[in-house]
Amino acid sequence: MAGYDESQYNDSNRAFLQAFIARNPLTFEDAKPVLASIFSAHERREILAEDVTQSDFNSYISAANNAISPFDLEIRSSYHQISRTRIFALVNSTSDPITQLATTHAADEISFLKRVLDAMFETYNTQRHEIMAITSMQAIQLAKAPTEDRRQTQNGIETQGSTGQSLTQVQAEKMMNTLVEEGWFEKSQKGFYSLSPRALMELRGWLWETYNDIDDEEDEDDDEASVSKKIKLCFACKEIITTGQRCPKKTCPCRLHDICTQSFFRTQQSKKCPLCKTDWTGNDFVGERAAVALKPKRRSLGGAAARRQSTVALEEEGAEVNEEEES
Amino acid sequence: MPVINRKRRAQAEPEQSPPPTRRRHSPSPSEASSVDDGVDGEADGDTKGGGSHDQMVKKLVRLALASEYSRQPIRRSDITAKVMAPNTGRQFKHVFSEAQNQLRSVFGMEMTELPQKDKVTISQKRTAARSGVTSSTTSKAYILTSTLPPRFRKPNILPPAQIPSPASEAAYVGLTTFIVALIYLSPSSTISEARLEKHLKRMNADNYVLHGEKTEKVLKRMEREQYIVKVRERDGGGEETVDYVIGPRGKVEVGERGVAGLVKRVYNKKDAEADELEKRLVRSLGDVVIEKKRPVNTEEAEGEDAEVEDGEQEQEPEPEQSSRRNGRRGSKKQTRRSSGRNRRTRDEEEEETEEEEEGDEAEEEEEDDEDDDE
Repeated sequence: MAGYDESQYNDSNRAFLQAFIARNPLTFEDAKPVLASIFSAHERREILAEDVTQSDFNSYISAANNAISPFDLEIRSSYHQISRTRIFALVNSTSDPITQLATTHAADEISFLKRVLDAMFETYNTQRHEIMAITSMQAIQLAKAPTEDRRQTQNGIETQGSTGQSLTQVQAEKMMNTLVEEGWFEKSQKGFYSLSPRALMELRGWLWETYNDIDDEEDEDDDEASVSKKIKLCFACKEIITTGQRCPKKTCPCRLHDICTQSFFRTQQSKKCPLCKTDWTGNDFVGERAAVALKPKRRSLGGAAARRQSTVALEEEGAEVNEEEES
Repeated sequence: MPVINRKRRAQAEPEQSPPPTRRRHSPSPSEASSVDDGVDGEADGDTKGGGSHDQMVKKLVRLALASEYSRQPIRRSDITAKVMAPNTGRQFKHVFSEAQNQLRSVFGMEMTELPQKDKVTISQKRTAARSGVTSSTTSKAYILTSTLPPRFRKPNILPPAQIPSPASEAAYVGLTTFIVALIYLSPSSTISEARLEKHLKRMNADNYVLHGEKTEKVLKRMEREQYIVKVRERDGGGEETVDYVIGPRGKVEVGERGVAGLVKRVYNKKDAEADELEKRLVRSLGDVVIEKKRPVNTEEAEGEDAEVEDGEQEQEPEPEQSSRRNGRRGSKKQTRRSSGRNRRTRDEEEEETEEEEEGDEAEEEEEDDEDDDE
């Protein structure tokens, strides 16, 4: 923890770190003009955004990462699940009471957020319908704090501000919008909120611990154990998957991002699930499409159960979304 | 000297892989996508120099960063409670200065102590007097400020933070700076509620501002974050007066120099007129606002070290390259402006400022008030 050698880490690095913190998360494209301005200021001559190279960026990221790691901060990167843009986020790698101060939200809002996450990864993430997203209607219904007995179970999972008062519906709606603004949620065209790449990076460990109960028996029997995991990884890129495709066999834990399927099946002889060898349909989804792609198709297994759950999943936007789907 | 740790255009290798750790002498940082990394993070801080000391330094740095996110001051008492291990009170100074070093060298930030709230009302003054010697001169509360040299403090490098969105942060900072400037330029740095309202009305910000938030709420927030302080006082006859004065954070973050920068940018005067404006600003705000002369070229050649050592910790107003021939140096430290200055000019100035500002809310966001500290 000694002083830094100015030739290794200097004001341009510090400026980059501050710029990063203000813009978190960041892509290479976002970073180009920023680095260009920093270089211009540093070298006192004009440097254009086009002149900033990937390796400039990489070396700044890695210098920053080295510098902040003693403080349990870390720059992580992952690819956007749909666009595959590489995204860098500065995250806090340990949760402690000190950093829980770093929010502008009241405790009640935080506990509402917890309810929303529970809904995303439990209520709307069943074996049949891994939606992992929530509509604003569904979110607003969570404005009200649960009654005592349900709260008990929630307290089991220790989190910040675990009890809480209800929000009004207006507050809940506003909170959802703020979370999008702050870059934690993404809102799809069809009105589903899902976790943004930044949130996934920041919460990776937490989601895994919170919603997957049985992670230690992983190596026993794949099928049994991992099916009950709420949080799954893409088979190809090993990142958490909240939108993409799944194996048609409901008990099979194999999941792939849409974009990962392309390169993945190119290297395989046939389009079969790499785990259970079922034919890969490409029509079985994870994410908001799982909320719509269900009606007539579910002829195979347990019709009644499927229907019951589908009504849950569809509740609100069934009609509207289906229309879009057909067109 | 600027051997930079990047090689511009050195090899145009099509490097799409994770940020490589080459060119760094130290062991590789936890790979960008490791799931559990707590271990090596810890190791770094712990192994060297007797664990708990480094641990406390680390905690303090984290506390500082976290507090600034929500614009809460870092209080000495919080540090004692949350950072210091039991019975380590003596090490406080040590931990604090080490954390300060780390903040400066890694983040380009430092903890700046907030000034005491002014004793404004008669009763406050009375109690202060009664309690004898000017009690403690320090507030024991700190905020983070940037130590980056001014040339890095540009909006395209340091944009308004995304808390919750750059636009609303910008709007808030803009309005806050404007209000702080109004107060600074008012007689005795005090503005009555009614008068502030009048100004806000001319800005069309008397009821709603920024994203449809109520002005009242935003003012409350400024109060809470100590940009401004609302003072209620009952005079002898039972009449209540309500005034606003500048709060500790307003003094540190905006300060006289920030105000001067804002005014200059709004007027955008050249040559003789700029000199005149400068004089008037000095009359209103004190000579702390005098910018140190910046020779246009010589300094450029000298390299950055000279500038860094000049210690421009204060928020730097936009460098005006107008012809200020005599390079008087302002005192570096921000000093409280003495109160007995020429009131008349200040009033005039205020009127003018206001004229110019009208409807300019959006523009001033771009001003000197970089909010780069969090």
